[in-house]
Amino acid sequence: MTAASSASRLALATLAALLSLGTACRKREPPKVEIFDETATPAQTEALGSLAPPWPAPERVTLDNGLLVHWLHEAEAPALHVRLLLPTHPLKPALQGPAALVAARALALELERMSPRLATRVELLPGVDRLELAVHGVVGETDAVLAGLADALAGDPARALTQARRELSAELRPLDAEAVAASAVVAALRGGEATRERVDAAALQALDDGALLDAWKALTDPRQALLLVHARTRLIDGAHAASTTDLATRWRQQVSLLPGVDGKSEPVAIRRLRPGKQPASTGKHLTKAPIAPLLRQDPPGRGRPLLVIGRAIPTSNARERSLARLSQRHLQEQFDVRLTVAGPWSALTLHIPLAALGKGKPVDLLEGTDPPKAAEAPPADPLTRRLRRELTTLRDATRLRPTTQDLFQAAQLWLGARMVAASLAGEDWTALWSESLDLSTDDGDIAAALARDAQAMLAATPEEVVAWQQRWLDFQTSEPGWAWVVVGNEADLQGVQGFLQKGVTFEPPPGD
Amino acid sequence: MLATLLTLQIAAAPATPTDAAVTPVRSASPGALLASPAARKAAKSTDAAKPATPAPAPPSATALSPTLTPVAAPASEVVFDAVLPCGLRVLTARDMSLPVAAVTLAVEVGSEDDPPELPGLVHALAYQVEQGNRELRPAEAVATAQDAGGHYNLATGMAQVRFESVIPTSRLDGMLWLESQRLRFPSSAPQRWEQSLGWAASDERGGSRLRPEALAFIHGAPGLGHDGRAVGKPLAALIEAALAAQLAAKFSYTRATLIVVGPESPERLLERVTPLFADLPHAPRSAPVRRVGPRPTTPVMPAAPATPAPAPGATTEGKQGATPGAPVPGAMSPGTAPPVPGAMSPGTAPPVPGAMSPGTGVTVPLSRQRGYTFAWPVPPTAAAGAWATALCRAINRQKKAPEPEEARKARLSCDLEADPRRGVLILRPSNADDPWALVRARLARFAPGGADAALLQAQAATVAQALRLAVRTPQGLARQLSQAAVEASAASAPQFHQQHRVDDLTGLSALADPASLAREAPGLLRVEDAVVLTFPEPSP
Repeated sequence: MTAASSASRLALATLAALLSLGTACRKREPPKVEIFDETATPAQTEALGSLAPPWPAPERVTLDNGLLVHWLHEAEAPALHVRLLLPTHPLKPALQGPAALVAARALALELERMSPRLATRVELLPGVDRLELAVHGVVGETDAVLAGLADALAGDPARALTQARRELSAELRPLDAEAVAASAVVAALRGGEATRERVDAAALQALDDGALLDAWKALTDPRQALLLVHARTRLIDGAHAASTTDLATRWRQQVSLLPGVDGKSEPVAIRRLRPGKQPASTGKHLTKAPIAPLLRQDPPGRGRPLLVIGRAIPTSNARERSLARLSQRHLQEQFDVRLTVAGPWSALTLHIPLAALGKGKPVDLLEGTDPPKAAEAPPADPLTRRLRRELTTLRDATRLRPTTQDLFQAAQLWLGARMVAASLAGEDWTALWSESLDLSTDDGDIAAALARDAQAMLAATPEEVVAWQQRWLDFQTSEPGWAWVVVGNEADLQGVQGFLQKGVTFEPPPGD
Repeated sequence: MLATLLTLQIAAAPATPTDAAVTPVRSASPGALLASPAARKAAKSTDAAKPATPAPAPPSATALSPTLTPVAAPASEVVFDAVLPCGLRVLTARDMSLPVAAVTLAVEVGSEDDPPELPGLVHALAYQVEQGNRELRPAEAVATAQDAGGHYNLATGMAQVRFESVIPTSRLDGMLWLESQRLRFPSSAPQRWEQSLGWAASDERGGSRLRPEALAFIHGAPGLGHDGRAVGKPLAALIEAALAAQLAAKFSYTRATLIVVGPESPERLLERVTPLFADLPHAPRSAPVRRVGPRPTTPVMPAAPATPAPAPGATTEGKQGATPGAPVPGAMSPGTAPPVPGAMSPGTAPPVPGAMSPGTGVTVPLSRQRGYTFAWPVPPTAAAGAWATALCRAINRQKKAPEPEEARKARLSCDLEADPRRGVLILRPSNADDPWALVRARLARFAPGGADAALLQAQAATVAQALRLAVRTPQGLARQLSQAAVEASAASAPQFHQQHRVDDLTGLSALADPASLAREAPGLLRVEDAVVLTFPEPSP
């Protein structure tokens, strides 16, 4: 540990002590609870009909330490679900990625200490620009779980950090081509470094104790965090006033200033969880100038050659999100298409395993035959030829008009699976609330977001979907904003690289 | 971390619902149903639990007028319980936390009902029922659930087969209709049967701690004495007509219970179900009540302990000439299983050392391991299962008594073979000079006022808590309701219509009442009621 970091810790500890003394001198008052009422929650029957949870308006409160709490009440619920959302975007770049993950894992380890006593279960989940820690228990232990949370966050994390790094190092699988490609594409779309988008053993080993402690302090800053609670009780009844006050008293921020918020507590959950700035478009095309630079990554030893094409898509309202999701679900029947919604923008990626191209398909009739009399001659390399065929099929699929029935089934499947999966996982409303956060543009929208998205998805027409796909997914007509990465040995991919770097060309339609 | 999310989407159920819908039909091991292990030898007895199916009674005005027993409780705490004219029992309950419904068709048939010459028949038939019929295409049930983002599961056990689905409420009507068609002349086409046998053969064999013969002896049910998941040549050789006959006999609505849990009121759910079965011919219920049957005689018992008169309610074994079906005091009265001719013991029981103090429990050489294994059949009710779980947890948490009451290294461990109808509580003493005394002393500490009565209550509270969490979801509640006792009043009234509290059917009420242990699971605390299994020593 460096002297500078020790001094910094001392200074922070002194500051924390002063702050806690200051808090102790103040008169403790129970937090003021507000009820969400900006947008009415959907009526119960309407919510159930729209395949959305029938939750009532939740309570929200900002505790003295700056922690924002959303409290979801369900009468007769026997289970307690507590979910702590810790945004990673406010962290310094060096603390994002592996350091933040170790810190979150350390917090999970601290929370697991109460598991034998309270029969709780702890989960650590990655989210978009955040890490989530969920504690599942029984409703009678609400105060004890909140006290356990305070214990974990107020204690010295040094041992837990060491253990967390050790465990993560042991558990981490070697990177595969998928991870390398996805992280590189996302980094290209967001304008960051690929290493921050993935975690590998070398990055974990490179972290020093000081960095881990700094990551812990920054990540667990209550002024940035959001606590979701799903319980039988109501916060406004005052049943948990003592435990929430205790949580606010013992869990204090350990860093003075945070980038972007001037050290002040942000009262809006959406703004806490999302970076203020959306990623700028890459401004690149795949078929015409300016063509997106093709990044080639060496294979990490596992996985076969892979091409990943991605783009950022604005999804600032329910209609855009619904169309994006429907398109992804529809195309996924044929291709590996993934979509991650992060509020006002989403990342959509197409994964094309190069080694598998042409498998199970008829013999490549182009091989060994004269080139067709088309504008562009086919590539000589068989792999490149198969890739061109795949990209042509993909493009054609984005132009194909789906039937209304296709869309309805895709929507039903997506919406139904969301609810069934939530039910099978124990009916944790905080998990759905977290998902709802990503579908909202304002805190007042969160409660109704799932229902509104469901309604928008069910109302989408084939014409809307085709128009949307032409605007965002069609390789030739879409707006700029693409990025692509190919993972594989340079020697194997020379033909593919040469083909893609000039801009994608497509097979002529049959009969030409 | 966004890249991590994109990479994880392959495995994330909500993101890729088709991934959640895994293989078409798999036999589940959700804890409740455990398959019997590989058989050492086939059962020698006939199908013991085959119900005596009386001729269908003509419908009468009385029979069609259900008796309604209202329960004063919120709709979310009430279960509607009705037997329809076609003989199907329906349980409906409300769960409003998410727009999701659970539909479970539990058929009271299992490997116990395999004919001796066709081991593994019921397990394979369960797959055959998935092969559709004139109304349903093959695997339509799976597709109906999974195409809507739902979850589908098939569970086969010793005495119950369950077809379980969890679906969005928007698809409830479709799933209910499907369940109303499923058992109507399932396909018996040879190529489908071959496929079903393939699925059945690929299932995992159960990891029971007990040999099938031991299980059969403990329950007095000879039908359990074989490998319920065997797939042999006799099954492959079944001709189409025989297959159709077996399907009709074993998978009928008269021995089935349809459980529906959804966001609507139980009454409304029942209203949705009833018309779907209205066109079926009237028939009486024929679901068997799985009682403990008379146990076979074991002629080679060199260390037969002195047997005083059994306590009331005790299961009896070794009684020559026990009358099949004769009532025995207590809840675990023998059923209709006929006595098994001949001994089931493959070897001889080791002699009990003179210093030991064996009780009245019967000792049979059917254990998989050396030492003594004390086993009790768990009555086929949710309440008994819950109490057995609590008792087992409490035994495993008991503190050792000081010497000389217990030897320094003496240990007692408990396992529960969970099954909704044929559960077994297993105690294994080790390093004890006198295993009987150790087990007796430990169990005595749970008696009211005993040293560990509070421990048992604490474990009952823990089990109740776990149960409450389990029944919080539609699937959990449906699964727990499928373990509710086979209706006792069915014998007296062809159709009935009752209401129960959820807690009564799931065992939660019983756990809250310490006195109910003796009522719901009599004998579990008595050494005299145990079957003691020993390792078979080779005959001299």
